[in-house]
Amino acid sequence: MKLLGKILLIFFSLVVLIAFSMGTSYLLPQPFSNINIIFLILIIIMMARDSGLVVWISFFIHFFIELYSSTPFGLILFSGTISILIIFWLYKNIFTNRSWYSAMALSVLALLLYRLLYLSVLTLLQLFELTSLTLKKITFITFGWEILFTCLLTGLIYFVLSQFFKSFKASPIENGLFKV
Amino acid sequence: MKTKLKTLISITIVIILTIVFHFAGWLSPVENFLHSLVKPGSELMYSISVSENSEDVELFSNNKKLIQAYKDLKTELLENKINLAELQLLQEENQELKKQLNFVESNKYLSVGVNVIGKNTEPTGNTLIVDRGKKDNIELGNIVITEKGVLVGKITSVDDHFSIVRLINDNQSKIAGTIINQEKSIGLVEGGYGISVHMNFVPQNEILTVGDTVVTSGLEEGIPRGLLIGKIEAIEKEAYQPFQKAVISPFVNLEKIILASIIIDTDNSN
Repeated sequence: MKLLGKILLIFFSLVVLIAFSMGTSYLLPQPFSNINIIFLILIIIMMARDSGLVVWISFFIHFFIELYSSTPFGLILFSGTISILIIFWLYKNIFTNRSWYSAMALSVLALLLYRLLYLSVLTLLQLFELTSLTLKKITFITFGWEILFTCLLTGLIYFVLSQFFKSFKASPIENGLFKV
Repeated sequence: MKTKLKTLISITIVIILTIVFHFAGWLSPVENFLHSLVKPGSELMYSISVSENSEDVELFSNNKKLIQAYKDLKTELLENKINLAELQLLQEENQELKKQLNFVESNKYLSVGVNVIGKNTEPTGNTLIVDRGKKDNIELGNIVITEKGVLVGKITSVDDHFSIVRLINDNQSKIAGTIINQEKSIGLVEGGYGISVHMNFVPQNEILTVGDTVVTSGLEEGIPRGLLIGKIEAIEKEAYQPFQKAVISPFVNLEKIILASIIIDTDNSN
């Protein structure tokens, strides 16, 4: 019963997160609407919980986002989930501590990786003539805004959270390769 | 390292299976359920984002004696505002529907009225989500118009209960257009330039004027001739280029569309 409650709570939180992400994108003016709330929250969850569950949360959220997207199905799902998986490994094995600046660095790396995977898969799909989707200069400018604002907001939110919650205080992470 | 590789492979397999199941249609019940969960929230937020009412901010002094009276009045005011907003929305909706019906009836197109319930969250495109899908006979490539036949975009993805519209300013959008000038210049109206669209491949020797109207040329299958696209804002002409380019400002604000019509049959004469 407890487990069911937990699952329902996680599910409900994810739906709220998706709605919140859509709200940000709809309500904020350009270029602020490019903030990637999904990655921001995933990185905060990753650093707070230290759990691989974040990869499955990412899978579910990106599956959902995919339903509302005009890109070939799987593009966002694959890039989003795999980039969070790789970032989780980087966080566990390379990053040495929890701090606002590691949160910022992780968000930049995560988004760079996400867009890199996105472009690679897109190029592959174009090679096999499975899509006619091509990107123009303006899209890359948008990617830049996305990385800049998401990184700044992640750092800020992490800093604020670290003032109130113990789990966000600057500390070395468990299982880190290079503990200080 | 081995464990990591195993994890990577297992997640990739799950993703591939999800993609296969999606295309096989086995995930439709789950997808429809998820869609129905978020639809009300998305619709609400989208309608807030397009509404221009920003007069709700009230400054209030710190005087404690006034607080209670203010709160009571505020509650009353809020109720009135809700009623008024609903009324205004209904009025706007009514007017817009009348205009659309007028256009569609006069042109004998078979169409379906749709509500816009959201837009893209990914920065790679400009799309809208509308609340009708396959069950309402909507198909890929159907065109979407607003009042008086202003072209908004094309259907690019259809689900059972919702569809995605690729707006004319999306970077993938390409529509054959004609300029209402002496030569009836034709060209390709392309998106991907922010809020404006460009009309490319217009021969150099044809005379374009700022303010000229651009309509669909009818050269494309499924898109009738004469749907309004926008008007010319600027002309870019280089002496060494075989073609000139026109910067077009669309007739409707593509960020503020609430209601639209999808033309599902252009040959219908009912």
